[in-house]
Amino acid sequence: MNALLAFIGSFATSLTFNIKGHKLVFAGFSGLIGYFVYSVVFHITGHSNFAILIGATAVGLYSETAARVLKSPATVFSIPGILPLVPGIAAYEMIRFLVGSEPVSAVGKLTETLGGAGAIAFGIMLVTAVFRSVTGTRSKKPERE
Amino acid sequence: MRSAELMKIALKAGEIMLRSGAEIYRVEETIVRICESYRVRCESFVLPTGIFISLVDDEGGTNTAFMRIRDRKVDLSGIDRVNSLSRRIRKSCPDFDTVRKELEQIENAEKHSFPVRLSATGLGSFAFTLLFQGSIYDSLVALVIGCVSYSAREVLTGKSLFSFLENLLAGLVTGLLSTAAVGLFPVLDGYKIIVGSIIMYLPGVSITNSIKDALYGDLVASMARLGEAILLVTVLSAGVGIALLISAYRR
Repeated sequence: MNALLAFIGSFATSLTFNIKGHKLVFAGFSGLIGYFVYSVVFHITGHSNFAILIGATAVGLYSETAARVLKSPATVFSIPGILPLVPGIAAYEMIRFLVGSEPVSAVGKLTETLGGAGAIAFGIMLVTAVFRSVTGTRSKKPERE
Repeated sequence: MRSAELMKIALKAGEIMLRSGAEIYRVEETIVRICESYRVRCESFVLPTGIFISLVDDEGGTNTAFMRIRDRKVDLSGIDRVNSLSRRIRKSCPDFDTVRKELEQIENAEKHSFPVRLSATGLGSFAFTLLFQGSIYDSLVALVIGCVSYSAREVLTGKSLFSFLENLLAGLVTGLLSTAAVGLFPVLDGYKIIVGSIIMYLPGVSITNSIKDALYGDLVASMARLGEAILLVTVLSAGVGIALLISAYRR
């Protein structure tokens, strides 16, 4: 059920990013897969940032695969895909603590937010790096005359 | 003559990609790919705010062009289309007129119209609020707030003011409307509404590109994009923070 919501969310963001046609649906699935993996891992381990990391890795895997199948840049799928994983609640609570003059709690929430954001970045980075070293995305140069 | 034409085409392709928010390595690669398909040696150097291209002609003279990029927006399908065009050029080497026409077509392609984007924002806010365990009422309010703040933001975008101001306004409007809604209907959960509607304004493109640029060794661009993302998020949260402060004082 929640994964379906993640699908709708990613689908809607891809619309605002001007993605078109059937790629919209694939971008939506990226959000679905990321969030599904995230919630399964979170359910098993109870560790939020670890779950985000695995979720982002799943988004990365899906995006790089979809990019090769559909002949499109991987970012078309990964950008909408990571949005459901963003630690929005922690970020919001940080602002609330700051506004309420509770800087110590705010720093705690800031750490949590940065951890989540870092986990997303690292997950995507991991997959791109692996894919790049395996397939070699730098195009071969045509032989010169 | 031929290399001047080619230069124009390569520059145009790079410009469209960079304006649409492509990664640096992709822009550089596309420019080199286009030039080398026509057997012209080429070096390109791209920054988030400008493009340098240098072509080497048969006599060994170099021909350099530079273009400053000022405004950027997110248009992933534009990146996609230029990317596949450059691959087609590599395969079949069409003549310059065909390529130029196609580039123009991509540049002037229909964007999703404002109502479509508006309803997408509303729908997205709705879905994300539900995702963060908001109730159905929270989500419906978030849908309305998402639409209103997106329209407010669109007004500023049209005025082409300081781009960070758009996000400040989006955060401010979302925060104010949410606290007002909670004031009217205490059953609502303000923070789920705010979190759900704010997600649509997060700089996902800057963050993702910053990671990718770092991986490809474009350190300048990576840091610039990271800085952009941090600024955008800070401004957005400042907007929400100001709204929360105002509502705290009214109580």
